[in-house]
Amino acid sequence: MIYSGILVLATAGGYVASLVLLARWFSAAEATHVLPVEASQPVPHGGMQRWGIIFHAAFATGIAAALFVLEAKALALAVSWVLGVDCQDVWLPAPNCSFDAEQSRPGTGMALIVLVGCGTAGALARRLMRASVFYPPAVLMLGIVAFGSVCDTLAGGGEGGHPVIVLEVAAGLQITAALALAIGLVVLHTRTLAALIRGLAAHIAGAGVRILAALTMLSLWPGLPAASAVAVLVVAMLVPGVASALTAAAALASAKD
Amino acid sequence: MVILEAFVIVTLGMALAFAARQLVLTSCVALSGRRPAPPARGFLADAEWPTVTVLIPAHNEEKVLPGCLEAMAALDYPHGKLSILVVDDRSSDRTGAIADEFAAKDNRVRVLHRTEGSRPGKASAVADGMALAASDILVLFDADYLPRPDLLKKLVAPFADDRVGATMGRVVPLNSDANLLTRLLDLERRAGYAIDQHGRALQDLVPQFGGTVGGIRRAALEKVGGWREGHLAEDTDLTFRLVLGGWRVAYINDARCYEEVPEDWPSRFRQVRRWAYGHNECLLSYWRDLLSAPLRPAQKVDALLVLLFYLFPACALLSAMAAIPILAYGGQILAHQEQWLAPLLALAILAPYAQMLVAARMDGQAHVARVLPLLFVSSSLTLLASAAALALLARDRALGLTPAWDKTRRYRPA
Repeated sequence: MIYSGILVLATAGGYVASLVLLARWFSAAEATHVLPVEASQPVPHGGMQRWGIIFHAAFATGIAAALFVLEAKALALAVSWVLGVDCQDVWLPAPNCSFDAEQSRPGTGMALIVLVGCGTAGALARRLMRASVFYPPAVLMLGIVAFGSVCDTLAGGGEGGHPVIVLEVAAGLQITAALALAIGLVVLHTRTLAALIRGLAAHIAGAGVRILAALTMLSLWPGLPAASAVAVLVVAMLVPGVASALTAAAALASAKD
Repeated sequence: MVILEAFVIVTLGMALAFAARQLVLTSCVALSGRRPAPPARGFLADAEWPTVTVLIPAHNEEKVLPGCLEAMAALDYPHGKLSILVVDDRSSDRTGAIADEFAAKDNRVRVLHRTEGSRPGKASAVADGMALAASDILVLFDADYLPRPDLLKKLVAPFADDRVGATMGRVVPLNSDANLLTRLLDLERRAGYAIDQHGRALQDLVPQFGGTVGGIRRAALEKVGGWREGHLAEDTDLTFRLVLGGWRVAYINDARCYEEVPEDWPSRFRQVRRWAYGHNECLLSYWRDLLSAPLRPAQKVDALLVLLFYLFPACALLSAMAAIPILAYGGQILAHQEQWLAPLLALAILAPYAQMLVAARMDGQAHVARVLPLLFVSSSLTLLASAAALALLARDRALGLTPAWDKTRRYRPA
């Protein structure tokens, strides 16, 4: 029990800290209303030659595929080592992990605790960050989790919600990240080694964040009622996961134009 | 549970349709380079250019109106063929006085002062202004807009093609560097104009008339029933009346004009709620006519997706919530079972991001896309506002109520 609590705190703490760091870096983006034509700069060539596209696409696909496979293995290994779960087929996305046989899930009591927690967090958010642009997404996410807990309260809880769904969502995010990397490499015409390394390093950092997310969710999973757990999965893993999938594209874009 | 699953699957289908459209348009624009849409014949001599009235509806716009009118006065257009009409819409600040001062200095400027008893809202103000303007072409600008001198000719030139009923230029946020929200909205605008509108122009689909930075042929307007009041998305409404009436809408990507985007989330929420409400009204009004209209299949699909644009976020939010109990209590959604669907869904998620990335790259300013991963912040606003708009529309239709116009806040210092 104590080990589980420490595990949850450690993974969740690391996950939240990494999200905050990423968010701060992303939001440091510059913006300008002056478009190149107005600034009397030469109009950049926006069209792509056909063979250039094919070469870039092949190169990008190869790199993205390799990183995708590596991330899948890293996730399976992390689940095995950190959570002590036996995983087979570690080279596939959504590896075949043997979680404990489905046991009774927390019931109505925990669902009500989650609901009250959402309400309290919402009230705190309203007091502390109402003017912040992050307030609406916070309210939306708390609302989704609260909805899950209401479903659990009405359903009586106790059953459902196999943790394999966490790995399936993780696999979906790996695919999304790989595609995003490929798209970023093609669209942004990455030509220098430094820019490529920057993009790949950012992708690996994003992979680390996604693995932390999966570990956090799997640690939390047994302690939450079924629908609350799925709701937390959506807001705490899926949404930030999509953001982390774009880390490489953001890094490639912020390299010197 | 079966009904919920069906709803989720239908929403997934809509997501894939929108993603496919975004990817097609993005690819089309990216592969075309910076080639503009096929140009209209164009006017040659000054005498050929049509008469134009620039119409500026203004309600309590004292902060921004002076800059707007100075920019209008500098517009390059044949002498004697341009007039500027400011519609002071029941302003309680110095808007009317400022407009009168400009009218006293420049005989091209006229002012219409609407009184307290007039019908409220921008659409009504524009309607009253149009009744006074006798020009061949009417060009609408919001009072916070700052057009470049060459903008007017670019907006009017496509009318040399007799089939063109309306034109639309590109809107560029002036305050994009104000904060995180404005940076995100800047990305959305770039994608919306430089890729989406531009792609639709290149593919001869259905670009939208946006109600500002746009021109309308008076004859076309009269043939489709005039400017419609009491509508929160009068621009979308006019677009569909023109298209269904056989007219074309021309988009000109290098006809650029500056605007202010909301700098705080409550203003953005109200703006999107207004747009979503109006769009959904248009969906109810025109979807049947669209299906039977003499348009190419691609044009019908494009136009239908335009009408569904603000219904889809509400459906996405509802289906995400519907999916929670389904997945939790052992139900099966197609996406949950089928591995081959995962890459398609990944593409559906990435399509809007790819569009923004390409737009920033083609503007030669890819670095602005660094903020891309935080798009969920502005997307959350769109989801919530779309859902709120849908609920409001349902309530108003059930109770027979009329929606109220919600003016967007201005940020420039007076």
